[in-house]
Amino acid sequence: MHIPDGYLGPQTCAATAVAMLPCWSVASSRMKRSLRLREVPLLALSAAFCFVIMMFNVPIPGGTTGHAVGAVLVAVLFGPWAAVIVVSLALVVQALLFADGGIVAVGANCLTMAVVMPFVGWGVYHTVGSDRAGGRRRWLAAAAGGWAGLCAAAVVAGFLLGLQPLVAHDAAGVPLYCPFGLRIAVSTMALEHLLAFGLVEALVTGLVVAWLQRTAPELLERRTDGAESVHRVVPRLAAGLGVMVLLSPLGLFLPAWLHAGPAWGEWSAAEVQEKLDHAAPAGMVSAEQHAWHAPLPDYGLPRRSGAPLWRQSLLYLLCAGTGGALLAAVVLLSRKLLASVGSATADASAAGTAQPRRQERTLRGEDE
Amino acid sequence: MQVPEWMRERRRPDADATAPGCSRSRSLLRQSAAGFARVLAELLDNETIAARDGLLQHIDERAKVLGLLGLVVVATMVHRPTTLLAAWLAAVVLAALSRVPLRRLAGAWLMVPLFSMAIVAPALLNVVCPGKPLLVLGHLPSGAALAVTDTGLLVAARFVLRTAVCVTLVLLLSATTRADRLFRGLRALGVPVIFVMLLSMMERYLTLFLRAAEELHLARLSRTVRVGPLRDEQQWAAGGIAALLRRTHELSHGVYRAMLSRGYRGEPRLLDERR
Repeated sequence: MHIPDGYLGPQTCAATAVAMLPCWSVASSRMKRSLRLREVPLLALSAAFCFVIMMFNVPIPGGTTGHAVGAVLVAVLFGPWAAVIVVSLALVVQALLFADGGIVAVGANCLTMAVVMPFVGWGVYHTVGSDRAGGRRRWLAAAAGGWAGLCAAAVVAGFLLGLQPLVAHDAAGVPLYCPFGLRIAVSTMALEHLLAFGLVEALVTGLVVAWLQRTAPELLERRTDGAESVHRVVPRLAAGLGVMVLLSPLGLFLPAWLHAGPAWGEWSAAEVQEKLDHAAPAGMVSAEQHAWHAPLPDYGLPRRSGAPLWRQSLLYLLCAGTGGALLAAVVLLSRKLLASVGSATADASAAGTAQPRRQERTLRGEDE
Repeated sequence: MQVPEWMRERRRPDADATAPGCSRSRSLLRQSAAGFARVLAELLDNETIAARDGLLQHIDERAKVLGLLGLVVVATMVHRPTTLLAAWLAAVVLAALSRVPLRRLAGAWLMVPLFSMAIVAPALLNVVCPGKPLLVLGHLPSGAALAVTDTGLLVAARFVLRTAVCVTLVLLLSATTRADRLFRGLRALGVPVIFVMLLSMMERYLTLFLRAAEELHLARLSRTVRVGPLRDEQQWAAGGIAALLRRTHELSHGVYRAMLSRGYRGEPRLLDERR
């Protein structure tokens, strides 16, 4: 995941570094506002902790080991804004002292691992499992957060790498940096992280949170950046989603008003034929005929492309509302399912506290 | 400051990792412990090299940070393989004049540029970089030839050489500058004092945590007669991380009290050693 120097062009490095400036600035100001004086060493030491857990090998099936990035774990423990600072510090030290990850590419690495990963992971953790929940639901939520955070970061890293042949090439079109396009870079990064590394991240994040639940639950309750409760954020998100649903017909009115054509690259075979003034590729025509036909193609009724704009707008609203409601239902159902699993195991985990405490003393070499 | 001889001793916990009878899991434990020891040794190596009487060691850290990181930026913008090769050779000469051991450079080259070589290998082929075929390797099911092209060779050479130059320059900076001075040199790039202070603190305690993680693995290894099921091993690793987290919390309180006793009132300050 650490992108070395030479993989990204200077324009991408500069853009990602500029994108990181407001992130570091907001993270610092939130730290200043909510951080007590005594928490300053905690940030530095947490960065050292983050560095070490990136090296901590966890056995996985097949007789080998894997290691986690730990950004989601840090976000779960200290909040996502604190994770921005802590993971950034760890990445800068890795780049400067160990040449692990680039110096010029430090903005890109921080964007993927210190911003995208902790925020996506923290968001999933709080959406799937409440921070007040106990039992299995909480560590499952942390595992899901770890997996989702790493996969999202990998997709962004793949996007940055895949962008290079498009934005940095010579006059003959020969790539100057990473030579693999979006199709190869994004799919490779996404697949290996979805199927392998993401699972290791989920395993480590989930197991550590489960362990802390049993042995040191007070560490899971503390936050350093005063992250807002999900219960206050969800109504605002729902309101924002509602406004966006209501605004969705703008996607019809604006192109009609500006006399714009269909979205670039989303042409049908007929439109391609019209643009090329030549027959559309046979494969495209065949795929269009034999592909699965959606019940509401292009967010409208089938074979009603010439319907008046007001009727198309109503269908647009219906589609946006239905899509949003379906996604919300999936998330809520997952919460309910995990809640039922979590409550059933809460007592069992409380009963199992004594043994792990003893095991941890052994790990620290205190009882032998 | 010279690092004492006893601290420079190179321990190799992985030395008997492949010994007959050594189970795979025990060997993994040894390798993990060796990984922490290797990073610790690198940190100590940097201190030793930074104390040597070499060319780069005599240069002010701010000038060094600006100069070497500036060269990394320039190397990122250079596209001619011959120029990149010349820059890499110049960096190697600079390393020799600064008395940076070749094994230190070789370690970094093995890690990043060789890894880059493996990544960029498919770009040699005409399926990724079309061009004039230099070596036909075979034929695809469609009948088209699968060949190494001149364009692919150019792209791969540029990619690997650029990575090698950047890694060598960064290694020169880290090996010839003491970590605390290196971070203070970042002030020349406009990095805020609070970040420099946090970086310095982090680097100091990193050594401690690396040692703790290594000891955790060695303690486990010394108490392991027969390795348990995979789930137990995973639980143990999670417990180790959790134990380190708890130590982080406890230590941060102690560090805060020590800072207060030295007069810390919330204003980050750095030692000013301008010459």
